[in-house]
Formats: sequence, structure tokens, C-alpha cells
Amino acid sequence: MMKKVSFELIIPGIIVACIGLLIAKLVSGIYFFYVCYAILQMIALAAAWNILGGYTGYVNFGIGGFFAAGAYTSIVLLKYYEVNFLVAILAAGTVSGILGLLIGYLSIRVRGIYFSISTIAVSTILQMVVLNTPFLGGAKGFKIIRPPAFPPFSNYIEFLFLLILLISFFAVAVSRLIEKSWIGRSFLAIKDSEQAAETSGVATLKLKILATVVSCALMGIAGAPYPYFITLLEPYSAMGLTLGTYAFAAVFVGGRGCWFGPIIGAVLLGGLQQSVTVMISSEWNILVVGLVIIAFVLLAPNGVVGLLKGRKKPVLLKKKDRV
Amino acid sequence: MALLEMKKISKSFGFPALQNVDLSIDAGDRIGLIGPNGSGKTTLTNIITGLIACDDGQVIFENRDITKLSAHRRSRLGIARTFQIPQPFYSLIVRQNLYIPLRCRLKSEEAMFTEAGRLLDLVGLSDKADGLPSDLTQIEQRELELARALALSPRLLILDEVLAGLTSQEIDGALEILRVICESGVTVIMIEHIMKAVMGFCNKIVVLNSGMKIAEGMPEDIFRNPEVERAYLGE
Repeated sequence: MMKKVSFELIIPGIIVACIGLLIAKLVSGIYFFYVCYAILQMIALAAAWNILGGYTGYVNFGIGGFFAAGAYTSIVLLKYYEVNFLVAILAAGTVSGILGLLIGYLSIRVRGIYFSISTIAVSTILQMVVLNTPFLGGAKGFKIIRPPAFPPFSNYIEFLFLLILLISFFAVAVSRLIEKSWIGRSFLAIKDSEQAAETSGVATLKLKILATVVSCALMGIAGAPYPYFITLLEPYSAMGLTLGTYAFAAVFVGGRGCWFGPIIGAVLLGGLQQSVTVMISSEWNILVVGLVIIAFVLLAPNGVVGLLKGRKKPVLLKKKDRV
Repeated sequence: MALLEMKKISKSFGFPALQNVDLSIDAGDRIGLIGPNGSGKTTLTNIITGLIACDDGQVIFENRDITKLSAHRRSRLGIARTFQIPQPFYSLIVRQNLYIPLRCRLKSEEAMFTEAGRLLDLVGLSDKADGLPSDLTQIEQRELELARALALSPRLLILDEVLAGLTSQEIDGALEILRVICESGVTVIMIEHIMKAVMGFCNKIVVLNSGMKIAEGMPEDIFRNPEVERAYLGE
């Protein structure tokens, strides 16, 4: 197992980091890094969502809440306690993971739409808490001044780019590790028939909570560098449905229940979103993305992966499967 | 010593689904559980496997009180079942469907591969091992259900209408497989409407009607029982 983890996580992680550094050295335009950050963040969130939603079939609409919990944890620690960035990232993951554990424990016994609604409740409650807590910035939020760049980076955004690159790599690698193991198989069994999984010896409740915790913790980690990217962290934009909806849509465009689905989806959707924003307007961007989502739901319910692989291959959702 | 003992089991879904049902099953028994539709057969099965909790009563398996035990723990103790409407894992290929229960007792992928092959061979699905369950026929899906239940290496196997829809010849074939399974030391509870199969296969029959056990005994005696006749045919 350790050998597998080092092969799947550490070595490719170092390679990804080197590529990231190389890109940071070679590309000079700052805008490029903003676009990449947005897309990579979408990959991370989509991959995290996919662990619970794609494999076990439990749809979490509270992405914004878990993401923002990570973002707020990291900014509070960095601003008030001046901790190391790595510590802030780990703490962000822990806080969101604990939130996931709570919601998992309370509501994962209910399936389908009831679980989804309770996840929306989580992000709404978090929003209310932040709005009414001056310590957390209240409605005004946090204004963040980026620290000066440090070598080898020529701009702080390059550092953030490398960070989110590694985070999204980590999220995808974790979901790939899960998919290739017995845990992933058990997750799929839970999605297909919880009763049959349970009577086949699968500890369904425990595994569903595990999926929720891992998924939510990764969302929190993805949120950790966000305050420095956005420079104004306030509850409406951070916890709104928009951010979560894009990540959710990326999984649907790419393909659910498959580790590289979120990458394809996020690159396509994020790329489209950015180019429409630049070429037409940011209002049009929402409309175009909406149309793309509708088109995919109607024409390719299994996403790009479903189109590529055809009907016959396993590890994909079937049309007749419920969301 | 009884393998499974149920004492005064009651369950209500707003109406009484089971009332004070006692049941004792010895190791090696081939029990036929019969009764009209809605008589509580499936509810009883769900209580034995732990998918639903009983309101009252006790379930004892191999001298151990399992009333409060979750379904997956019971299945690891050796209680397996098939579902009346097959519930295969559609996202997994046929062979991997068996990996889910096999993982309870085997650790390496190679061992699981071999064992899954053996079980699929037993039920006659070896040529479909790499296909998806959605490409199987209804009958093949039921064979997969059986193989998946056997993968737990069960002590007690509950078959929920596993023969429904089969032709007379296919029933004989299926009963042949079931006899092999019984001879390997598995105790079987068979819920079935096909009387020919129940009569030919079971050594003991339990009759439920409106949530109550109305008769229990040897197959020949059961069919001479006037109360059973009433339950099936009316006054």
C-alpha cells in the first residue's frame, strides 16, 4: 500500500510540481495564471465532488460551503495567527473534513434529494454564521493584500498557481487511488444498490461517511489558497451556489464516477467560461455555460468520458441510473 | 443445535406484518418458506438478514444474539441472500460483482479472481464474466444474484424466489445446483411459489399467512393441512 501511495502520489506529485515551476518560469503574462488558477480550482472541486457524488451517488450541493470553510479557516489562521501556508492548508482540510463528518453522520442515512437538501442547508448555515461573526469578517469580508513575490517566483500569483496545481493534482490522485481500490468498488456498489452492498458485507454507513469526509476535506483544501487569489473574501461570493454549480457541472460535462472526468469537464467548461468572459461578457458566460450543461444532460448524460468509452465499459454510470 | 432461531418476532409497518413468529432452523435444513402474497415472507427475510429491525423478538444465529447486529456484520457471519428483483451492481462487470462479497474473506486480487471464476462456473455464467450485468437476461441476473450470495461462503442462504420465471427444465437444472450447494454444508431457506420445486427440494416447510406462522412440518403433511388450504384457496 505504501509503495502504491508513493508511486501514485509522491513521484507524480514531484513531476507535476516541476512542470508547474517550469511553466511559471517560461510564461510571463499574469493573466495566464489567473485563468489557470480558475480552471485548476474547478478541477480540484470537481474531483473532490466526484468522490462522493460520482462513486457513491450522493449529490452534494453544498460545495460552496465546504470550500468556503476551508478558505475562511486558512485566512483566519494566516491573518490572525500568521501560521505557515502548509499548516493553513492542512487545517482547512481538517475543518471541512470535520464538517463533512457531521453532515455525513446526521444526514447520509437519507438518500437522494433529502441528502442534497441538507448539504445546501450546511452552506446556508455557514453563510449565516460568517455574516454574523465580526471575527470572521462579517458581511464586509476580509481584504487581503498579497505578500510580495519570493524567489523563484516573479509574482505571487505564480506561487498560487503552483499551489493550486498541486492541490488539484492531489485531489485527482486521491480519487484515482480510491477508484482503483476495493474502496472505490464498494462505493460503486453502494451507488447501485445499497441493500445488496450491505448484504454482501459492505459496511455501507462507514464507507459513505468516509466518502463524505474525504470529499469535503478536499474541497476545504481547494479553498485554502482562495483568499489570496480573490483578495476579497466575503460570504456571498465564496459560499454562493455559483462556484459549486460550476464544479458540479464540470463533473457532468466530463463524466461522473471516473477520475479523469472532472479534468476533462473542468478544462472544457472552465476554458469556455474564461474565453466567453473575455470575448463577449461575463453575463454571457453564465448563459453559455448554462446552455452547455443543458446540452450535455440531454445529449451526453455520461459526459465526454461516456462518449469516448461508449456504452459497454464499466465504471460508468448508465443512462437508466438515477442521479 | 439450531443454526438460526427466531423468537417471537413482530414487525409492524402501521399494520402488523409479522406477529409472534417463532422459527427454528437446524444446520443442513432445506426450508421452504411459503405463503400467499403479502404474508410476510420478504419481511421475515429482511429481519433475518438485518436489512430491517424487528419491533419485538430475538434473532439467534449459531448461539449468538444478532438482533441488534447490522446487515453487513450478519453477512460476514455467513448469512447470505438473493433478492426477488435482482439487484446487481450495474457499474461493475460481472466478475467484480463477486469481488464485493469475496473481499470479506479473501484479501488478494488473484484469490478473488480464481474464486469468482469458480462461482461463475458453478452457476453457468463464466462466459459472461467480463460483461456488464445490464447485458444479462433476467434469468442470468438471478444466477448472478446466486453467485454473489455464495461468494460470502454462507452458512445460511436465503433464496427469494430464485426460480420464478424459469421453465420446468431450467428449474430442474437450478435445483441441481442448489443440491450441490446444500451438500457442501449450506443451510437453505427457499421462498418460492413453485410448489413442485418446494416439494422436491425442501425437507421442511413453513407457511406464513397475514404475518403469522400457520403451519410447519414435512412437505407431505403441509399439503394435507386444512388451514394451509384455506389460506391459499379461501373458505
